[in-house]
Amino acid sequence: MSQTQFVLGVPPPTWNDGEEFRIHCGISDGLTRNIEPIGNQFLAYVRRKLNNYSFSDDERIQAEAATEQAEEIILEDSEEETSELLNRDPKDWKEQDHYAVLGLSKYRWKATEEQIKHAHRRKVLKHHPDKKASSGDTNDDAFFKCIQKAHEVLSDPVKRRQFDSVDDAIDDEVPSSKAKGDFFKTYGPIFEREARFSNKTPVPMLGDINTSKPEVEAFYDFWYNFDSWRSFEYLDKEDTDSTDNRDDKRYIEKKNKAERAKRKKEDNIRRGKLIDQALSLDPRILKFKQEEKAAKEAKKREKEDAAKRAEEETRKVLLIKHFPLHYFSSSFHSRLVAQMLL
Amino acid sequence: MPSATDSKHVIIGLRIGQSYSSIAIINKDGRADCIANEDGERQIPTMVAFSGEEELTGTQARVQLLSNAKNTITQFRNFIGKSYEECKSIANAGTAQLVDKDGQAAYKVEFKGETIVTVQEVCTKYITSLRESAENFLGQSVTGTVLAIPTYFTEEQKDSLKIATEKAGLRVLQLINEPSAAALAYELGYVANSGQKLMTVNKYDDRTDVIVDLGSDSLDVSVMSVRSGMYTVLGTTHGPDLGGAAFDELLVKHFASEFKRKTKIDIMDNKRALVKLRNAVEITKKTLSSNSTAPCSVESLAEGIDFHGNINRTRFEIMANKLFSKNLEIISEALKENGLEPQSIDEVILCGGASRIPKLQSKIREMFVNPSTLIRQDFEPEEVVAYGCAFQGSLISNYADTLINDSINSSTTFTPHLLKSIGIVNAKQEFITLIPENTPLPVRRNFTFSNYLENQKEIYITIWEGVQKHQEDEKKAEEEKNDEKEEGEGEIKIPQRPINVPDKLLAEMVLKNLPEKKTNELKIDITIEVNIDNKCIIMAKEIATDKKLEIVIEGNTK
Ligand SMILES: Nc1ncnc2c1ncn2[C@@H]1O[C@H](COP(=O)(O)OP(=O)(O)O)[C@@H](O)[C@H]1O
Ligand SMILES: [Mg+2]
Repeated sequence: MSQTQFVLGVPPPTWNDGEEFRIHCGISDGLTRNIEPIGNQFLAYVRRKLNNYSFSDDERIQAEAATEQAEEIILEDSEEETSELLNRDPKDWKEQDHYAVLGLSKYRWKATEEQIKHAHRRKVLKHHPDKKASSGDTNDDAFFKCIQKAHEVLSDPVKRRQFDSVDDAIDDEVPSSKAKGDFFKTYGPIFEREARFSNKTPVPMLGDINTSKPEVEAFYDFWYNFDSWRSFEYLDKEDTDSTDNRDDKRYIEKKNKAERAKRKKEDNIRRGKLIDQALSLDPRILKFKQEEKAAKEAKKREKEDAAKRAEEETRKVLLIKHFPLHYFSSSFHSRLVAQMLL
Repeated sequence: MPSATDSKHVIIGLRIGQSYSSIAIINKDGRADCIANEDGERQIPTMVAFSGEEELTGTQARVQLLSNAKNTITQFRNFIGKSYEECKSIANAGTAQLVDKDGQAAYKVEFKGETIVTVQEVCTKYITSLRESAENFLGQSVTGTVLAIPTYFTEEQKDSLKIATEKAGLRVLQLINEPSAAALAYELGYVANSGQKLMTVNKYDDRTDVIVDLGSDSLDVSVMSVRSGMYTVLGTTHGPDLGGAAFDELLVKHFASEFKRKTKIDIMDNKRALVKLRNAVEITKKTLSSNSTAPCSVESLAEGIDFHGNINRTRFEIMANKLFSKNLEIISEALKENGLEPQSIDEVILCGGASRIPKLQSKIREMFVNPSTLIRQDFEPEEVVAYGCAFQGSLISNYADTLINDSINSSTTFTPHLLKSIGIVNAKQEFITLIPENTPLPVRRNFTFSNYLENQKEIYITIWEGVQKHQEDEKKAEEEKNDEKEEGEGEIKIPQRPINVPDKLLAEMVLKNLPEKKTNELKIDITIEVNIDNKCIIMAKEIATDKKLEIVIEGNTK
């Protein structure tokens, strides 16, 4: 049914000027039937019927419930919106902290899809330009645009990874090798943070001093073969869309690619350095070495002992051969034998 | 849409068919899907067997048909809640014997000695195994179910099935009619499952559906009107002896006579042999739906002799021609009973496994030749009913039992429906349907109209009751007037869908002193509400100036 059918003309010439309406007859009586108790609309029908609501009552009540819910959602929002954040220019979206804009600073890459969706809805409800206009606020939708951009990036898995790859709020630093402090307390969180870039999951974690040798070995093995999804498109200096010229496009693309590859290589080197350093400082490695040494020594000693024991065994046999059996019954002889054996 | 598996409520949709059953859930992404049992089957044979110390169900029970038919119970669903007397003449021959237990239908089996199990007990055993399959698959316990039932089930049958299900450890949230479940599956599932938007006829998604369910033992045709998401079954036609088994029977006869020709052995009175052959030809028939020829093999069919045969699709289609016609007759009968013709149908929903037969599908397409009639077969025809149950389960899983019971009580569902359409005749003298016939009351709808002429200061609104008329009739009348003899010979005439034409003028109203605007720039909001006493309220409002007029047409109080 096309919309142009919904057109109305003027009253016929016979229509009296003062008249507003004429009612001719009522509608025909229909059949009473059962409706199928299924689907969403049936539930709405039941709600009206059992509560004795008219269509407009029901609409009002539903709308009230919806705003109440919306207000609750806004109340849930606990992260403070600094004036710096609220006054951001949406054009500088590349420098924007998307997590902060959605009030998810403390979650960052750990925020679930669900949290992002929820946070976005919350912010939209709070900052929608229509709402601001109606409350007499300035009709400035700059922050709303920031919110939309943040959502655009964080709700798209590819864009989100690109952003997470270069998230400034999480540092990339490798601590100095001379830094003091508990090894596990320092390096545990670092590996945890680095783990987010892994293509493979689950990622083995550092563990503690009691972690077994095979686990520690598996840990370093995994990390030396780390397969990272970290990428650096987000830092591209120029956008290929900035030009229509094919050659320019190709040139920009080439430059961007080279830059990304360089950054990726640097990142791999950085991670390699981190693992080397951890390995060299890992008290467990020292412990395992010592244990190994101790084990070797123990083995060596055991070997020597065994040799000694073998020698004694032969001596014992000799002794028994040379002394008649009854000699052993007296305590003197037993002492004598004992002395000889020592 | 809440998914059935992410909250504390785990609700499954169940379809217990006469031959096969399916278990559906709503996935995390909102799509409906069926669960496979431990044998990897999504269509789980509705069978229970007793072998030695073991109780077997589903696929495992079906295996027993070949070696242990007398302890295998099949085709029991329709017997639930019925007396022995009602069932004895239609009981399946060759499998577990139907007996009388205090008037109830029951089966006699060898299980730790001779045992009598009632049909309800058989159902409980079977449904327990379905619940366990679902729990194994989901890795968590299932709390409840929405169960599909045939439209011809009596109150006793519904009660008995409900008890059987609850004894199987499943809370029954609701029993819903199979065809309604299929329609709901398309409403809620089409978008979720296919990622495409459902094509709708108009803003309120009014349509008339025919649900064709060709199961194993019957053809069930339901005509349903859907108005703003509310479903009303206008009528159902039950064609017993027309399902997939009737096709199997043709193949049985065919291969039995081939066997006789080859071996001189007549198996038509050999119940055991027939059970084996029936089991085999079902596979042959299914193969023919996707291949042009299909084999049929039975080991030791009779007197230790194996049987190997073959049939091609054309042969099968010729054999089945009468059966196809009977099926089509039932469909047109269902339409006629409701005063409808194929061209007034918006959607035909195919369900039931036997609706997969290609020839039948093409014959149905031929019958509903008008291209605006959609033939829906996007979902697996055996599964679509279970999908609908799963969707309904996810809609109501959070409601309390008392609320659900109040809502499905007939004092809630029994409601007047509009007899004839209500509409407005527009400036071009066309009838615009606002509310179509068969719409449940109360109803409220809202439309936006506009001005036909430039600087139109008054708007004239006429409210009519409409009737359906064939476009052919209209055209004929016109042609006669024009007296033109130009017959399109050889041209295939596609029957046009009937249209609503104004029949009875209910009221006229005029909105005055409107601002001067170009054509189509005025916004006239028209809200129409009809309550259960046939009282009709019409509110017209010009949006920019808030000029409005409300009239009330009282119901016929004769
Ligand atoms: N591919 C197919 N081609 C033809 N018939 C089929 C096909 N798949 C299943 N069937 C038939 O459909 C019937 C089962 O359909 P179903 O809807 O599950 O029946 P019911 O609800 O009665 O258990 C059986 O007769 C079966 O042989
Ligand atoms: Mg069925």
